[in-house]
Amino acid sequence: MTRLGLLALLSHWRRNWLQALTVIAGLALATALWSGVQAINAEAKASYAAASATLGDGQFDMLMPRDGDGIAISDYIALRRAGWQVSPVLEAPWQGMTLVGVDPLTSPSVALLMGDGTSQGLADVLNQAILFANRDTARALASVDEVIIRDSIAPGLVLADIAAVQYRLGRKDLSRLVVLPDQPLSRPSLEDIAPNLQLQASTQRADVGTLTDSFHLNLTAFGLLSFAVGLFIVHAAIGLAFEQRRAMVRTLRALGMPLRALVVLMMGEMLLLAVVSGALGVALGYLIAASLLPDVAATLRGLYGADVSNQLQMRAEWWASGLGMAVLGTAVASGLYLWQTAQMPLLNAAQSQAWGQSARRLRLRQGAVGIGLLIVALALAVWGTGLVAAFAVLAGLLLGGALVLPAATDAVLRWLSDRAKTASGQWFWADTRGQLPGLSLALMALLLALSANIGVATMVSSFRLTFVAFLDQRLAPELYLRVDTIEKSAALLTWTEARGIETLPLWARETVLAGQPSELFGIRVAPTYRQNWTLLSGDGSAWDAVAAGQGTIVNEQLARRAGLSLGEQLSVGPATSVPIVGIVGDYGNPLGQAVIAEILYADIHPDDVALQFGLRSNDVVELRKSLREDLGLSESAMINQDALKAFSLSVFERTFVVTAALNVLTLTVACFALLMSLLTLSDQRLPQLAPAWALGFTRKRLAALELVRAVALALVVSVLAVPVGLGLAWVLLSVVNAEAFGWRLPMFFFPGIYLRLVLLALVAAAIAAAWPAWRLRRLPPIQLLRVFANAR
Amino acid sequence: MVLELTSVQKNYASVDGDVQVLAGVDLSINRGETHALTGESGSGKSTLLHLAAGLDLPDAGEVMVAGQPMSKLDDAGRAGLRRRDVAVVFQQFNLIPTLSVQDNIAFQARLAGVFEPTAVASLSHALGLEEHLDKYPEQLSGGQQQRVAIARALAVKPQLILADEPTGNLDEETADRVLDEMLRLVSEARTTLLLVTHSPKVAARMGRTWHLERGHLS
Repeated sequence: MTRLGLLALLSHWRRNWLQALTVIAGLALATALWSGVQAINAEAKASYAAASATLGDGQFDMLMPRDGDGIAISDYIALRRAGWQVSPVLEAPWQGMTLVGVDPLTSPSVALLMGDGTSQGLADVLNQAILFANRDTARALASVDEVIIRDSIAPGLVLADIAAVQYRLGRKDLSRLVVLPDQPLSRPSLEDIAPNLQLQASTQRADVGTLTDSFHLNLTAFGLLSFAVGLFIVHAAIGLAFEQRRAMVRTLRALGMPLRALVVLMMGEMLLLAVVSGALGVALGYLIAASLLPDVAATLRGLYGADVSNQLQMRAEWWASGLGMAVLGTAVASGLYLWQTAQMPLLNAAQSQAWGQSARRLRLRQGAVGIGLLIVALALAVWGTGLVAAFAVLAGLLLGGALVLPAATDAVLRWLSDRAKTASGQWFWADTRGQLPGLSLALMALLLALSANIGVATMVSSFRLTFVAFLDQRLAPELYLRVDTIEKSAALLTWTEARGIETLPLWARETVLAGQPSELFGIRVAPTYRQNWTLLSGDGSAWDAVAAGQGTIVNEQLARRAGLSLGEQLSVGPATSVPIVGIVGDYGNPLGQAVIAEILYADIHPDDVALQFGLRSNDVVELRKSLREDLGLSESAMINQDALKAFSLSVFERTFVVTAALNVLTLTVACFALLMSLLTLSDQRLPQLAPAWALGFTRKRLAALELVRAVALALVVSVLAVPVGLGLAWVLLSVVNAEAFGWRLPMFFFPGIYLRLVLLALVAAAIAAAWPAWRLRRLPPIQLLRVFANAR
Repeated sequence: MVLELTSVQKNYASVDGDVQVLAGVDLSINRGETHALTGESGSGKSTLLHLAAGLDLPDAGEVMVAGQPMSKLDDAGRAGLRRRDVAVVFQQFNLIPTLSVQDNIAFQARLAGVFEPTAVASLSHALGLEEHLDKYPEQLSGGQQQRVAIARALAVKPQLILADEPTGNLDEETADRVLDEMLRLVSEARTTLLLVTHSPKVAARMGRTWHLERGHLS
């Protein structure tokens, strides 16, 4: 009985293969986008975990300097003598990587270096000249030095004995001390031994995993959005299949198949579809993730300095999550129909509901829920705080818009129908209204995809405008110079002063400000700063206060992360605090930054010298030549502003390539949904088309009207998608972006882009309708006649 | 006794309140007998057939099929009875649209575990369906679909066949031929037949005719 029942149920898919294809493809695409994003996230998190294991971040308590960026060896020795079990770490940028020096005898990371644990492994670790890195990093360093491969080391990290690292870097200090788990029962307090150090508990420190959480949350949200779009397809196709099989269910029961057995069989059938589609989706997701991972890695490196492997691995966490979502999605899409089948009285089932019967009531209910969701989203946008509220606003906005769509479209079609002058016009609009229930879900998917495209395009383009303006601000000096010695620095300053060239020296060091990893800059306040730097907060007197050494200007990231505002005191050095007099937008840097006057900087760090310079000149070529000839500076020390801008823009473009790719995929999925809905409906439309054909519409005209109908519906969807998309952009720019990246962006409008996207949607709708229209045009008249001949 | 209805009542809710369709119907049919059930449209003929098939339950009274009281059986029990002992020929045929004619004819027999390929072949031949075995229901005319529904019921060789206007869609000549075959086959298998019809000619060919009027049989 089970086999027969299953055969009967599956025969529906065999005879309606387009529907089966719709379900499988819809679910596979939805799962692909979801699992692709999860695969990227899993790879990134694995890289962070490797970094954490290597550096001890998030695992061990650390001793960090209260101010500045170095710990004296004497502090380390004093702590060891006092019984503190600590292991020294020195970390610095090197050859485009991060070089980390550890003590092989005490470091908890040493197991990573031991390899297979043999005596050779130990000998390698104790050999001070040897570097350790994973395969990718080692390949990049092949021309620099001998590197032993240890795959467990995080990407972008190079490990070595701390003494060798100090020697390579010419440093004698330490970056931090790892507090080992086993400590003596009693030990002197840190305040007594090294008061200039502070203990950071492992749970208090924002490691790279925490910093990038919001980025991954963004990706996950996109994955979820794509999954939702895919789910609309699955819901539509499964719903149609259940509707069409109501009569079959009744017949099977009448022939002796128990209801419970039927419901269990249908659940099994859905599970089978979910697993097959899910497996296909996971495979597709792997391909998507593998192609996007290099760009994601570049984005994470550019935004957060986080290194992520370029190689994608099959990890159970993401493919299981993909399969799980496919099963869950199918359960959501089919749950209501299964429940209805289980509740359906045997004889009532005979009154098989035509697709869309009682659709008006459903439309009105959906519309009311949609308006409710939009109101909730608006309330949350006004009063809510935090990333969760921001995503709730996004969900409310998108879902609300989608639910309002059928009622709004019906109202537009009714309006058009009322105004139709000809009989054919009246029939066309009435017939379009009749098709609305069958197309609603596909149109909702199109709305979601188009809104997402409009929203994200607005965000990216606004970001681009702001970013380009920011580059113009920051790269105002025509030439940048970088020197490597104190002598060259002094010579350059003397040389430019003698020629009256406006020179902007820059003193810089990485440090901790207000508890945030930051950069402290000493600058010579000049007209260039006053004219080009646009302050988000602060007035014209800000630069005077900075110039006088009585204030600091911080970037938006630092202000947001540390919760700083104008007028607050910021500790910029030991026993040195100044008020914040300005906050500046900074769109190209993950770290906090604070700018102080050179005189104040010299007080705090008297040994530092300016090694970077901005020079103003009307003749950059001549200036470069003079610098080469008079001071012997090499070309590589001089950075061309245009090249720097181009490089920055290329980093920016890569940052958003992932988003753009997901957008295109989402729109593709939505078009596919429309195509499948139209194809499925075309098979059932003969009873509506046959009378029109009999009354004088040619098949060619009917086919043309099918095309016009699809485009007209897409146009209605597009009109609604624009405000929903703009709402989405506002939430992304003003709420999500501030939470995720630390800066808020102004929103610009791009009518040209919206028009292009709307045209794209119309073309996509026409393409989706082309096949069904072509089939209709070639439909043999006998099939239309059968509508009248058969007792249906 | 294959079918026995005792004081069966059935009401339906309508906008004007409850409508009593069957008002205490008593009916007994023995094995091998053929009965016709006539009555005006809406008189409750199909309702009576549905109750006899266990597709619905009476509000009062008892329906017994093959000695089993329907009220004592759950959904699975009634489904089992329909699978093995009762076959229904529906007015709207209720074929499975996604199975071929051949599979439709064999379907219930397979469900009941009494499938015989030769029986299906001879039924197809007898009812003029041989040329259509590989077609799907949508490719058949209404009359052809009706014959497939009849063949499906006969293939099970049940104790009781309940047929709702089984020749309603057939021309007179075909109707006669199909009815001949039906009666021959039920006679051979000693199957009981209860047939709903509007045609006095068809009713006249049954062993006994019942008329349903205002909820009562006469």
